[in-house]
Amino acid sequence: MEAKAGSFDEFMSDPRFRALVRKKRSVSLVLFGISMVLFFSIPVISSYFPDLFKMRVFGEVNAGLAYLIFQYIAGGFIAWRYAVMFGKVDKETAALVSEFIRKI
Amino acid sequence: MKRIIRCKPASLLPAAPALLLSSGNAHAQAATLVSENNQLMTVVVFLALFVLTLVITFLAGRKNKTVGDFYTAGGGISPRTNGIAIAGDYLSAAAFLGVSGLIALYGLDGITYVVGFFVSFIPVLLLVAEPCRNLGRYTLGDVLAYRNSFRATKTVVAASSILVALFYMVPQIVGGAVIIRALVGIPYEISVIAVGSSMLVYVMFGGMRATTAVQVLKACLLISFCFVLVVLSWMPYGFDIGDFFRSVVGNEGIQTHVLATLLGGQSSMSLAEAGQRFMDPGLYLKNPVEQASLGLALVLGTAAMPHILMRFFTVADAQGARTSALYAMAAIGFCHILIIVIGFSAALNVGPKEIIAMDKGGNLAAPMLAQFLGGGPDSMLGNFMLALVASVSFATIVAVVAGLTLAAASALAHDVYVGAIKNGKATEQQQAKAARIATIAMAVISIGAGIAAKGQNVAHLVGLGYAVAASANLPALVLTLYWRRCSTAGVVAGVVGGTLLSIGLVLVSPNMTYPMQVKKAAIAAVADIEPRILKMEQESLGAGAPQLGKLKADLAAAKAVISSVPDGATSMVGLSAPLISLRNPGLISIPVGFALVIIFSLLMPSTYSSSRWAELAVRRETGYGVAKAVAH
Repeated sequence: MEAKAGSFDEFMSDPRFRALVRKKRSVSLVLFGISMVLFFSIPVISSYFPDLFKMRVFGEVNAGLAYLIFQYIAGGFIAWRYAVMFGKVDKETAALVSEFIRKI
Repeated sequence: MKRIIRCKPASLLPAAPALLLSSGNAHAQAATLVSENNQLMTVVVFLALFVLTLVITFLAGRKNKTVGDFYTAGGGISPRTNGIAIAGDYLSAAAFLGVSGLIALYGLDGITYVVGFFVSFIPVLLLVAEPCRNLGRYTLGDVLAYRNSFRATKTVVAASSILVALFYMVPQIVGGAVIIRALVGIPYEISVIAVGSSMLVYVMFGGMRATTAVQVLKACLLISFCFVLVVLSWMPYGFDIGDFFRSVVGNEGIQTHVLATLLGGQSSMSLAEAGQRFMDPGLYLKNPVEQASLGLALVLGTAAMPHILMRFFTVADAQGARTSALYAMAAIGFCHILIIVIGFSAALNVGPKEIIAMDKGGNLAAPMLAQFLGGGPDSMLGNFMLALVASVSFATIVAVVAGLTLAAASALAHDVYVGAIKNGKATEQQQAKAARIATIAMAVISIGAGIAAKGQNVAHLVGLGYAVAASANLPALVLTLYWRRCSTAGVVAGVVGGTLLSIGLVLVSPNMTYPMQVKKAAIAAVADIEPRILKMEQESLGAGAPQLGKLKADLAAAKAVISSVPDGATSMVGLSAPLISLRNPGLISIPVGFALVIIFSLLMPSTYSSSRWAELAVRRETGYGVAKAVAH
């Protein structure tokens, strides 16, 4: 069934929907911020603090190589965290949508 | 006045494609990596792969019934398949051949470059994948037209999407043809036509289903092949990573390469220190502002690349889009890690000097490593491995180009013809016809552009594609999705302004050739070389013949440049020197793109855009109505 424009305004003003959007946005923005800080720290460190990247971590592997590989681990963790958090929100969203459909 | 579009490969940050292309001229006359005796085997492997993809296209094409099937496979692709197809769409020949070469020649800095391609999927996952799936049907234009003027939005977004696809596609075709030529000696024009025709067959007869299948096949082949190379590389070291890197650092060829080539013989480092230096930053990427500018364009541009966004319309719902992005990141990340090892292994086993001798851009590092690990140029297995690399590279190029063609054709047919011209009122038959005509048009344009670009370095177009996507499409997309006051005027201003600004900044950047600067460098080279030749001739009386020959050739080349550039010659846009120092305009054009959308939205608010906000926000978050989008 197709909803009327007014019912979307009503849905949007529902406190549960607003809380859900806030929760999703805060998760997305925090994770996005972390990923950007991690990524753009690479040119900053390699240009202004190159000695940090030259420190040996184990054997011949230095902190630079370890940090670049860490970007993949961190990216994977961010993606996993996002999926878990949004997976939890999916159920709340589905319940809200069911209620919305019943109303219209 | 001679006007040339060329860039210096070593300083262009979309380095892998730059390297791919930079090798073209250098190797126009060089011998191919696959010897004449083994070319038949290579052709057989090529043909086997091509026939396999044709069978896939035929099988996939039989299932296509509607326009929705053609554009997005009816939303019926599974998230896992879609994720791997995204990886196949995204892992270009530049990533495989270019980045492994970059690492083999410059060590750690090569990895710095490739990390950006992975991180760029985080904004895709966090900001656009799910909302786009909840709101869109076939194209980026669908999402933006949700709450903005239908015709105006569709027209400008289609234009920018087609430009982005072309900017990205032309270097793929040109670079691919150059590599295929260097590997097996197939003439440039035939390679371009082969790539273009294959892509046309896949897209035209199989639509999104065939494109997906080819991309999945390519991703699986590429990752499997990289995995085999890594296993063979690590086997002699008992899979001890520490031992492997100890050998890299202790390798005399790498140490000498760092001292003589990368540090120009000016360093007082010991050999051991030079080996360790290979693992340190700063051998290739030396300008942090440039690095940040390209990084910004890369990281934000991917989230607005039409061929990437389009893939999220092929799954049933937002959860599917999310899972797709996760699978894509896993596949891309895994392949990148393998490519990193392949780069170091090529430096260790083949040697930077040998790689440069074959291709000064390093693009043949991975194929040379494959040949070495298979037993060398004289062994059957070595040449079989090489044939596999060549075929996988070809499949890689075709898969990427097919995805781009489908995205550009969708923008042309669905947004321009059905949207802007027919105002959304076209029959299923008209839409299907438009889609196929648009596909042929895009194939003809890309083949024509590929052939016209022969001998020119168009690598900066890759960076430009990302910059336009990040400066024009992304601000319009993100602010349409998340900002209540965003209006049609803002979207149109942002898309048009972001596109023009990105292109304009590249035209006045160091990417262009400034003939008087080239002449000045040639005059300096002559002044440097002539006394050295004289000194060598007086001192050694021909003992250093090879060096003397090279110097004489360099002198002749420099003199030819001096005589070919008339005084007062200028760049394409009439400049004698670049106006900005940035090669990638992202750092300027992306903030301006966002500012344009915001300023014009505030100055020219739209009642229609505001009235659609609540519906967009609800559908964006909940996916309400998404079933309709799937059914079309």
